[in-house]
Amino acid sequence: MNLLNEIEQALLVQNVDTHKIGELKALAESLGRHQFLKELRQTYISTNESLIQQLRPALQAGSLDKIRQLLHQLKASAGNLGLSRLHQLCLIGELFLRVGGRDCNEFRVLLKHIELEYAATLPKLPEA
Amino acid sequence: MDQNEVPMKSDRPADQDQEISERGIVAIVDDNKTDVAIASLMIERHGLTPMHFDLFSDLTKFIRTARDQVKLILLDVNMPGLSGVDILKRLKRDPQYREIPIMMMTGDCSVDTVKVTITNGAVDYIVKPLDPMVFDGKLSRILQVDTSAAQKEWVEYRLNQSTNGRVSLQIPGTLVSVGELTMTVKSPMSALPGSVFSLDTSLFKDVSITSVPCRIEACTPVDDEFVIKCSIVGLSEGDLQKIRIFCKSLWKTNLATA
Repeated sequence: MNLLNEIEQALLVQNVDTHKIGELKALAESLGRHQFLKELRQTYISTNESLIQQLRPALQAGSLDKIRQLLHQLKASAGNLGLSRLHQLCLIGELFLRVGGRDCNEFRVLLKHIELEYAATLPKLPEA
Repeated sequence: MDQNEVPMKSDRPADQDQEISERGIVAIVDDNKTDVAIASLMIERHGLTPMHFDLFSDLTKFIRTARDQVKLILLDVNMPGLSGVDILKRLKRDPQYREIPIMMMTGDCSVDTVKVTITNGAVDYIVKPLDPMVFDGKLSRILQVDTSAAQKEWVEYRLNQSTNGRVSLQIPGTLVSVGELTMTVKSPMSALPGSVFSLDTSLFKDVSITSVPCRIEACTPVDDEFVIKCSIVGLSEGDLQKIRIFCKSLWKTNLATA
């Protein structure tokens, strides 16, 4: 698996899938849950801020299983909120580790993109 | 607590005093809070009560006190400590919980993962991120089938499921009206407007049509049922002609319902 090529491909994916958010909003509205997206946003931030902060220490400690778990969690949350590019970047990292990828330099590049994408998408999360 | 069991982080523990819907409970075992929030929303749409359990032991303790109310367990495959597959195996080994249908949720759609869950007794699986349309179809299907026969039926269903975004769905109900491009059904199950389904039905068996591609246009609760209006989409001219013949036969025999 060529991690750098995979990253390049992932960066071509749109970063936010507005259709996904629209679908959730319609579903929540139909149930009278007008605060749902706001609550979901808060849940996303409160959970994932900590995940992001744990990634680099885990890499420095060589805890690859831990990194895989963190990426798995982040991938699921990002997918749920339609953050397609972040979802894809986490997926690549998870697959890379699963197939035995061990190139720390390439992995650092991936982590950098994940951190940047996480920060870039925070302002784009649905407010309500 | 089991020695392998790791508490899942959650600031929203299962509230066992919450009001329970008459339709019952869907228990969710997942360590991802956004997954739980979204699955809960989709479950509520079906008039069911979602309950999130942090621990396997909390889940089994609750089921022992409310067995008849738990209609389905939604179980995440990838969790720290006891994995979803470990929990699945334990539940299916124990006669107290064996009959409760379990649907696995996974971000990993590899054939091996699916195979392991199905062979260990899960009735179905759903890939994350959750898609409301797919989730709706699967939930409707699971909750209307006899759980003892569910596994075989689901294996067949999964094999027949098309890959173009449509899901096969059986809506139980009474045909209220049918035209060559529309039909209206009264059903105890709801359906998501905008969804496209391949509707398996015996309604048109006399004209040799067993599956009708439909788009749900509206789903309105009326008394204890739902009135579902569908557009028939994507049938060939030959099949449409058969439906015309069927409609004419209904009118001729003066049947308003079938």
